[in-house]
Amino acid sequence: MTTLISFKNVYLSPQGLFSKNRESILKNVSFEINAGDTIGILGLNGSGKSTILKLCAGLIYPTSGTVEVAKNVNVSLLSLNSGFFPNLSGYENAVLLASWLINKNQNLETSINKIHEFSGLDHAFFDPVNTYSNGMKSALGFSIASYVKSDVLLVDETLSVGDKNFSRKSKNKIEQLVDSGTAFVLASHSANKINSYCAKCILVSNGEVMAAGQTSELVELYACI
Amino acid sequence: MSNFRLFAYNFIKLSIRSDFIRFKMTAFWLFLEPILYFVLYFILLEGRFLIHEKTFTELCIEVSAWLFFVKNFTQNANIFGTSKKFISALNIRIEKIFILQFVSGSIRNFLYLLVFAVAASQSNFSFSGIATVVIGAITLILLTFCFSSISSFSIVYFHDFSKIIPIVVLGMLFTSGIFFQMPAEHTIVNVFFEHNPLRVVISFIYSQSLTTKHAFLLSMFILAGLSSFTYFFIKQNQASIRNKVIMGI
Repeated sequence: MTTLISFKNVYLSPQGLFSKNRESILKNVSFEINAGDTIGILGLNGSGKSTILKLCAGLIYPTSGTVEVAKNVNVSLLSLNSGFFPNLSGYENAVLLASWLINKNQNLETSINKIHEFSGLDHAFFDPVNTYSNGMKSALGFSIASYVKSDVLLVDETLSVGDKNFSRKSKNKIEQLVDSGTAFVLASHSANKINSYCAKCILVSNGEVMAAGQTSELVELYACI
Repeated sequence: MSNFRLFAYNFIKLSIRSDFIRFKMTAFWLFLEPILYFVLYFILLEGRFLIHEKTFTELCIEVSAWLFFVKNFTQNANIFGTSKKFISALNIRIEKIFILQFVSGSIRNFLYLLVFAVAASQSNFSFSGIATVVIGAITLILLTFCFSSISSFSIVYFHDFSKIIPIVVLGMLFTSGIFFQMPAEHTIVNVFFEHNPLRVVISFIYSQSLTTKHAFLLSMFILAGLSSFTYFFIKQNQASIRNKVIMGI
């Protein structure tokens, strides 16, 4: 099985003369993400789930240890605070993000039409994003991230704000992507969400990996935290 | 893999479109603002900064150059802070984000540069009109690029001074004599003028008895060196800047 991302003894701690809190945010985190994996990162608020996703996406860098991303692997990160430009419409944001994320051989217009159709935003797609609800932002973000060709799709809590129809559509889409070899990683504090989307799970607490294994087994352990 | 050229083209196009089409007043304000500034500068600076000794063309050059610097610098002085969401959303190298934001910001301030160009082409500098305009415009762009990159890099590490750093830089520039030549009267401004580090550099350039052309070229050379140095410094500190901006650590 192809390893797409591997964490080896990753530590992340504040650095610099003016850092107020010097306690490590992540301590000795090691795991691997393989092609076609569905991995849930489960933990309480502030346990380091989103930080692990940011490291996977290459947005931040570890203080020590290594985060290795295989060559030519496209990683998309989708979070509730995804960087939409609030003054631009959903369409314009889609053009902008898709033009950065799509492969050179993909057609931009076709991708945008598919994103529009999947998001279910209809006319709102052409309205400024600052008029969107959290659910609409989540629908737009997921549609963009799932329609551009990415090898690893990282989702941070976003799926919990979508409505019933969108949850069903997004679950089908994730299954399609996983079948085609895309690895899917979901970070959430909801054991139910992780259980319904992911086969494997990593339990995180205070920046440390407490346990890793099958989701069904770890969900019971999580209930005891 | 990622298509940076297509992204950069769309980013610049959409950010300008959002400024000028969505907010209809922007285009109107863009023309009105320089006129208001000109009027204000006449009132505030008359008699204090040797305005009465200058021709209208010389004054236009000074004020438009100063306005271009102020607008461009204040918009870009804290690029990493203002584009935190942008940096969080896309895995683009930090120096590319800086350049993209700087270019799209500068295009918006093009009008000030246009006033500078028209005025400079009418002036009686010692070298030809086009050369004055081109070298002058490049020097101005380099000046804003240089100070913006130094300021935004400093703010990443000295976040508590994010409001002070741009003001100090503007004050330093204002009292340096680059844009406005001041009389030898004893004013409060003159104290800053005499102890201004930038003035030392300028005094050095003037003390070499250079022609305007050579002084321009020398300043361009110094600025290009300083800009490249900061650009590569930002590039080298990619990881540290990202961690500071995104995670605040």
